[in-house]
Amino acid sequence: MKRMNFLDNLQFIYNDSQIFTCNPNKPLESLEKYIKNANSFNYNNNIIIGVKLNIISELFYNNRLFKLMVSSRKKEIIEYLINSKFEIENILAVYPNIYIPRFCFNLTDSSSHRILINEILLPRKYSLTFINRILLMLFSNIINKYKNPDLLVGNIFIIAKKKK
Amino acid sequence: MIDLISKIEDYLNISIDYKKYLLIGNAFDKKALFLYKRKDNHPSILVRIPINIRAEKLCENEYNNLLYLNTIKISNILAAQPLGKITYKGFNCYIQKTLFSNQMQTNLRTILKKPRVKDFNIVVHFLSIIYNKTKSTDNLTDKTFFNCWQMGDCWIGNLGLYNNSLVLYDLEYAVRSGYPLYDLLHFGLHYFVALNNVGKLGKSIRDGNYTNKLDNRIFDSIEKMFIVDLINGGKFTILLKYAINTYTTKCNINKKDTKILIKNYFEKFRGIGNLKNDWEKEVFKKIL
Repeated sequence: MKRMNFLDNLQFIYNDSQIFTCNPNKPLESLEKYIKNANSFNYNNNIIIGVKLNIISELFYNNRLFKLMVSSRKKEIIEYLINSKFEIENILAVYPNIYIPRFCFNLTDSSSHRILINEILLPRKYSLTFINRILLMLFSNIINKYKNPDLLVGNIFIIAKKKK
Repeated sequence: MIDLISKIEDYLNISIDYKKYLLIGNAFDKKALFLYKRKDNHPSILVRIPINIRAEKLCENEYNNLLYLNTIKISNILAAQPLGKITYKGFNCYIQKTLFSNQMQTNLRTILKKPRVKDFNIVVHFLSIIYNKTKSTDNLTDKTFFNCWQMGDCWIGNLGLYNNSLVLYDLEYAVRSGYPLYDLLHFGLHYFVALNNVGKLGKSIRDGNYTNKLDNRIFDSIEKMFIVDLINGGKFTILLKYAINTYTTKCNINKKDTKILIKNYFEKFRGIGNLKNDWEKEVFKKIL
């Protein structure tokens, strides 16, 4: 857990909030430590947690058939926060990753997700390696057909607030 | 950020959906924010947000050039409509209408890595229209060319096509009193750079640990290779020769002045002409 100055896009969205991020490889253990530190810092009662998701597990988790077989990291962290007396304020989707969130939008905002993929990233596909180009094109096809493309987001920031 | 959106809402007297936005950050100290009107599924407003004075100057220049292009209205040339500016956190933020198009960079040949004749034809056609519409005949000199509006950063990534029109993006470096041919040479040079950067990004993005340090794309040194490529008769030589000749014919610029413009573009404007003595003679032999 450390304070990262280069997360200024998030700071911009949250009005220069002091942002602590945490990329928990072992989510719950590191989260516990993180929440303690954030509490002692006592800034706005907001905490922001960067989480790298495994898109495949998230996709499977959202399918009724696979729900019992796979776990969702997003769900796991949200539940942990709620049990720790936090309420979820917002979930932001970011690209390309949680360390450099150059593109940010609300996770439920499928329009922005489509604009980002179709109008911003896809036209620039030439700079990607062949495999990534194919993946991006596939991604774009799915995103155009799929009703809730938020399932395809691999990096998110969960913004939570301490319950009063 | 909510306070900014609220200001924009008041300024434009429209209702904005606060839950929908796309924030793009940190390209040369500027942020871009796409906003949606309530119930819209397509963003209709783009806000340029500078975070320092240098970035603010660039945004201001872009805004003024958008105003200029939207005032003089060149047929088949489109640029976003400027909607106004507001102050936010000590800097001016510039609001414009969104303008989507089929971006030309989508069609870059990633397998063959060769320039498309069609792209050059399109650019020559539209740039000659811009020159003939914006040339300033006030200061008559012994030259066959006049100062004109120059886009400044005319590379394939800043151009799009929409309903038989050319769409111009990113006018931060545009100038009202620029030079003809510069935009075409810039287009050729950066087409070359783009093709040399095909397939450079990959693993780090997939692994989720992309940083600027892991970005393998090269820009400055490839620019210098462009002249070497022209001297060696590389894949851009014939195409650029054809493009320059067509453009100068349409713009009535003679060969002597074309040579002056090419030399000045590479040496003064880009600062990459001084690779070796008399480079220009060898380049002229190939492309004129």
